[in-house]
Amino acid sequence: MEKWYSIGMPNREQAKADVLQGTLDLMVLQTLETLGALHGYAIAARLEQVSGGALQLNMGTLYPALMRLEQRGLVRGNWGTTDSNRKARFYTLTTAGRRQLAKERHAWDRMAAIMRTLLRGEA
Amino acid sequence: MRILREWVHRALGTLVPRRRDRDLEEELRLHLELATDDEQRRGHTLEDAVRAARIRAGGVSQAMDVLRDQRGLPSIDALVRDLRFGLRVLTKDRWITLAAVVALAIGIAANNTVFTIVNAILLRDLPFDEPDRIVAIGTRAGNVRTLNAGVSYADFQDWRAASQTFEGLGAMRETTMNVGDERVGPERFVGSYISANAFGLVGQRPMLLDDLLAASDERVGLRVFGTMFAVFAFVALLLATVGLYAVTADAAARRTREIGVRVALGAQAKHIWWLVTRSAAWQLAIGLSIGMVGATGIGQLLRSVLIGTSAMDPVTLFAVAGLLAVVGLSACLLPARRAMRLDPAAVLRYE
Repeated sequence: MEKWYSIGMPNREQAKADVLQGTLDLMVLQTLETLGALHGYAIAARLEQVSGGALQLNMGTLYPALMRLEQRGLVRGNWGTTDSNRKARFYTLTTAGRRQLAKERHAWDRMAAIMRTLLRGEA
Repeated sequence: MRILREWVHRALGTLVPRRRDRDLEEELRLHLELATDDEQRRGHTLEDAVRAARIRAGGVSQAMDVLRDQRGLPSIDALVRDLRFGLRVLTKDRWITLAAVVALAIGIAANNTVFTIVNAILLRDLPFDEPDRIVAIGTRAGNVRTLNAGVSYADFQDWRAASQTFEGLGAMRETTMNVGDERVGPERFVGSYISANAFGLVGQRPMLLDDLLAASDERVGLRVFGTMFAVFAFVALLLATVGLYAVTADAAARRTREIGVRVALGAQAKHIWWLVTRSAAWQLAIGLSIGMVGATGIGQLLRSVLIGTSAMDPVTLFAVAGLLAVVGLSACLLPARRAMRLDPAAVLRYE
């Protein structure tokens, strides 16, 4: 007899979000460093473009992340106008944000190097 | 450090949101507009572009939910929201609240009173061989129910001489006293000074001092009284329980529509449970406190009429209060559970 098991969706989504959260913060900080002041949609569009469409951020993930970074004092948001003359909230890196990015980039590089070595079994 | 800063912001955000809902919504709406523009540029018609953008970016209300959680402290935020809502419902349905509170108060007061009597008369006899033959006599001053005025020794002697109904008369005075000996330090007790013949009268032997024994009539049908009270008590508890259940269940059922709306808007089961439990807990708390005060008052009255009943029989008081609290809560939760299980669409049409 065949048996079906299912894993509760909320748990699975929670786990996914947890993994993503740290990397998402880093991605947002890096994007702001590379391109300067951007509004939320531009950040999402840039990440989608860089990932070749693999990374589609919905608003429920992106904006809470931006709010979290703002609450931590890593980015600052200000209302301004876009090229098409629309009101938008532009985010910029703060000094603390730049420092945090450097630190996290370094940590990420190290971790990635370790994982690469480990997974290829070179050691 | 950074995390601490985030939580400080969130704590402040709970009290005074730095960014209003409108501000957040505007940001999300722009996101959708820009996404729609992009889709149109990729060759979609406006209608398709709107749909594609919504799929890609997600819904505004879902994002707003997460943003609101991120803005403040989640549990406190929900608590404040639910509390405000609960209070509003409580004041809106003030007649139902009043009825529930009154039902609870009467239920507790009546039950506590009656069970105290039952406990004193029926369940817990006086620890003597023929307790129904023992009565207290005394004098009272003014319009009170207590034998509060005292009896002079001369009066006591006269009563004893003139008495034909009683087997004997003993004198007693309740007081607090300090008792101790060489080994045990003094301890404070509530006790009585009694005349030498009192032990003989109640058919007991003192544990010490055998020679205290000296010696000495009437009957009252307390037992009939007791049985009557027991039946009365049971009916009172039954009525209070049924009444409380009916009032609360009706109030909760009236919220079926509201619960349906909340479920349809994506409220979690957890939140609904809390909401219902909280408003029920408020009503119960108010009703129980009034009831307990009332029961204590009636208990005081009872104490003056019936010797051996304490004004506050804590076991009875809390047992009755506990039972009514459980009944009250389940009366709220059962209709709420039913409402949550229904199809939101059906609930929304429910009147």
